Amino acid sequence: MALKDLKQLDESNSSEQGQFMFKLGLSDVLRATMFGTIIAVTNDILRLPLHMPGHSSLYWMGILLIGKGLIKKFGSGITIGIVSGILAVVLGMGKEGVFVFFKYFIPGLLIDFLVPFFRYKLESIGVAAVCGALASLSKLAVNIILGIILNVPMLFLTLGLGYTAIAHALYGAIGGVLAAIIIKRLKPRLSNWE
Amino acid sequence: MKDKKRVIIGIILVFIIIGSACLIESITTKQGLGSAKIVKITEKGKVAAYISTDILKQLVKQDVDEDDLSFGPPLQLAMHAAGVSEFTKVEVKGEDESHIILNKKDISDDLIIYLAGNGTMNLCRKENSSNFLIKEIKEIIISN
Repeated sequence: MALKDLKQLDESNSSEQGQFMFKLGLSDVLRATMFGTIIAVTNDILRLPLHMPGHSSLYWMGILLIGKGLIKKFGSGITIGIVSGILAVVLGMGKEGVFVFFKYFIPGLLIDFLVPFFRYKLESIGVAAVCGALASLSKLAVNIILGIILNVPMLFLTLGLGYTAIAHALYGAIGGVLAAIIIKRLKPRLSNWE
Repeated sequence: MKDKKRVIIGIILVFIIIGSACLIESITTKQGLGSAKIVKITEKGKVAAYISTDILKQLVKQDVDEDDLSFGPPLQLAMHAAGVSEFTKVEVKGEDESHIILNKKDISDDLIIYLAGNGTMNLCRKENSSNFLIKEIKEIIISN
């Protein structure tokens, strides 16, 4: 009985808070902003000596999925993508100039549509690995589309594309697995986030 | 639908995307090399670099005198740009299967890659740029 009352109180509280953006309250947007910032800053300062294409997906997709896994509402991925994209532009990351925004935004957008298909079960290793791999591949797709827009010859864009796609999928999946483990451990400690 | 099925669908999707990437790569490589607008530079049987007219135009702007802009970069400069510095022989192959073998002493700044307006590259001598030694270069093979 007491639990029911608590739930009702929580629902009334959340309806009072209102929606700030998409289906997110202000606190959710702030949390998503934090994850977006972590992605951009990590990408800027971290240099892993892996010398393989797409290795940044290891932490990039990992953090993105942790954010989505802890803020289980539509719009959290988009918010993380927008924030990290804007920061990437401001910090002058990448060689694409202003277009680098889309490299950060599209994986977030994709995750927002992809995760509901898997019923928001990002704590499951299989689901998180698949989501991470697909988000990482979307980043690669954005790279190629940007190359086409910037008139880079198609041969140079697609040279080693198969290998690059495999590396992106692999690192994205590993990032997803790490995210699933972290979500599983963090979730019970963040029960007041909902 | 069970969660396992959804994950399997996701995995299949990942494999389809990777397969498509491999397919696109092989198609564009064939098309790009077939058009003679991209030249393959091979060294010890391995591809050292791919060069296009755009890249060579940049090279001309950076390294060649303004007077030489109408021609194209020297063959030697294009090879240096591809990371080739030591060689004994160079074979230049054309799209029409014609080829020329050049020894180290034959290669000088006089031998240039003429950049045609249609994006193809031709081998000629600077003083006789209308007479192509190799028309529409397809491949440059370096021998050590």
